Amino acid sequence: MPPILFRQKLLLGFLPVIAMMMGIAWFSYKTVEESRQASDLAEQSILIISKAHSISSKTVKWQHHERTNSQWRGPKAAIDSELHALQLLVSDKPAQVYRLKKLGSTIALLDSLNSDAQTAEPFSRKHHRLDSANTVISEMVNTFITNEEKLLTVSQKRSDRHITNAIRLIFISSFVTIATVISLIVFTLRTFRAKRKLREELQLSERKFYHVFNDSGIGMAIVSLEGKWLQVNNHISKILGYSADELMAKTYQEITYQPDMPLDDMMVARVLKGEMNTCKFEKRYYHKNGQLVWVLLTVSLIYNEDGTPGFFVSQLEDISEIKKMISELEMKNKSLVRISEDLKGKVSQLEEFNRIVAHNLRGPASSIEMMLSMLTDAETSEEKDELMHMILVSSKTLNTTLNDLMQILEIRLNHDIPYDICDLQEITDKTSNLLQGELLKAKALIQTNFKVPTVSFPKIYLESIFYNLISNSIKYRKQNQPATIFISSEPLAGQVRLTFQDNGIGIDLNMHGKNMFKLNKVFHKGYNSRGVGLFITKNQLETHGGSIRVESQPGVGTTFIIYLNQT
Amino acid sequence: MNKLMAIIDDDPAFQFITKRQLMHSGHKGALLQFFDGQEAFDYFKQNESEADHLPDLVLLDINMPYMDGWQFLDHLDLLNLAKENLIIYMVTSSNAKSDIQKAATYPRLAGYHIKPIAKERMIEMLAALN
Repeated sequence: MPPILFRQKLLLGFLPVIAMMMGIAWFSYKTVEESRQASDLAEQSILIISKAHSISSKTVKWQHHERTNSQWRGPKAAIDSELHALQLLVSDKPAQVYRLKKLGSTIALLDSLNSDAQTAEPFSRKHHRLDSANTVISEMVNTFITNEEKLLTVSQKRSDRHITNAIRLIFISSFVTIATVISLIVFTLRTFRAKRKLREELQLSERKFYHVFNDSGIGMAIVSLEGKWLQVNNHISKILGYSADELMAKTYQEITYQPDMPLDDMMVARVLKGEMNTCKFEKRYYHKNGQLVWVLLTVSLIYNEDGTPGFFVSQLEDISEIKKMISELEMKNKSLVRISEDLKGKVSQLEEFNRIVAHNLRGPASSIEMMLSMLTDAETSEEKDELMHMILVSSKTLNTTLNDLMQILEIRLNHDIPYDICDLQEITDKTSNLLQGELLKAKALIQTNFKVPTVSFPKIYLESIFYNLISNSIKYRKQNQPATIFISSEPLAGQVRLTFQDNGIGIDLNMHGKNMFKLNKVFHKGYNSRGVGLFITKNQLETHGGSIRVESQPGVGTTFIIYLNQT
Repeated sequence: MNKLMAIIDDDPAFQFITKRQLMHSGHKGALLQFFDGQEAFDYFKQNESEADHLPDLVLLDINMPYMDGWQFLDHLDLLNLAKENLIIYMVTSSNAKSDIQKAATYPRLAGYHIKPIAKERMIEMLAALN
């Protein structure tokens, strides 16, 4: 229900007052009218009384004239005329009319008596008759007057009563009017005071909002439903680089980083649908200088009085620094993970070297020492020759192992060797040429499918890796069927995967899996192997951010999978 | 009674030295020589139920091709050997702590010796045999 306005309240207050005033005015009018009628009646009575007095005096004068001479007809006519006039005046009062008729008939009787006795009647008798007639007439006139005076008194009283009533009514109505006016004045004053207070509070709240809006530590804006910046505070200019005027000539869509627009649209749509009052999300804007700014945006929808959406209040917090810090942290974390992986690799390398020293170096060295001591005890020259021969064999073994180790150390120390762009097909062809004789003998076929045609890696090492793996596949082929070697490359996230798959004799990984890439580990008899190739391959890869693993099934074939970092 | 001995080692120099040491310390019995774990295991498997052909004392190297000392021990557990008191010594050039600790987890091993084997130690081992 809409609120009752002040004007309507005032009208509602006045209506009964006006009605009451009109009622009082009507009553007053009626009262005064009745009073006036009463006073008219009184005035008429006074006229009647004076006329009656006049008749009375004329009658006395007439009798007096009668006494002295006979010329009495004149007064009699005057009396008749007055009597007639009086009769007209009292026509509405039957009692008085009756009295006047009686008076008139009495006067007529007297007149006839007077005219009959004009000559015959003696003087004394005539006087006596006149006196008694006079008395009768006087009494009749007096009765008439007394009655009329009574009527006069009644009319006067009526008039007085009505006047008193009118005065009372006027007094009451004045009182009511004054009371009403006073209460209306009080009501109006209070209303105005309340309104002024409301206005003052509104002004204060507007002033407060102005300060909160403009001096806020976060960006605040009022944005139209279409996306136009209607009002922006100073902090927004700091975040986005545009002045308030520049910004208000744009829409938020124009300066939003386009890939973030779908998220923005979705959020605003949900707020407009009323699914939520406020939404909060992270997005990017273009700064005036073209750089991207990360902002935590809070959007609230403000409704009009009629319940339709009015405008948005947006709050922008600059979170670019936090985002930068997070990405730095992530990068640091990544490098830490890499360092830790690297350290793990180094530890396992050290363990591997420890093993090589313990088994492959100490073994022949201790044998040589032992045999040298035996040489002094040897009795026959055959014995001595035999010992010398064995010492030579052990020395050779020692020497070979030391050479292998030197090769590995060189690889390990050459970690800053320049990387080349290696064409995989070119390297495959080169290796095929080197192994041409063996390939022919094995009737071997090399197939390739390089989805990634080139990789970044030291070329001499990649060639060595191809040579080792391809020659292994030829060496450990099945004797009853031609060898096929399938080499392929695929892209991975930040890496390239190289696969070497053969249809050779395979290897029991349950038994040999953990020794696969160790020095001097051989797994098949009769192949004259030294267990060096895969050891070197692994070291070449690991030194340059690569890795290798093997899948195999005896009698089916072996697959080596190599991962090369390409960053 | 002559006892049967076996050396399992890929190093011909060690085989040669040990053979000489045995001769000089008066060992009378026969000597079986295997140059890798696989070769030795194949022999043990073949003679699983023939106690006379199984050695009484085995000197086992760790680092060998095809089948190393550890794998040989693991495989031996799968056999049901006719000879119960088979004495096996680990004889290796490795003084690495990891190898010594690993050897302690094999109850079948009678001891762990680092090459070269001193004459006194050889006599000791042979004495334990009788």
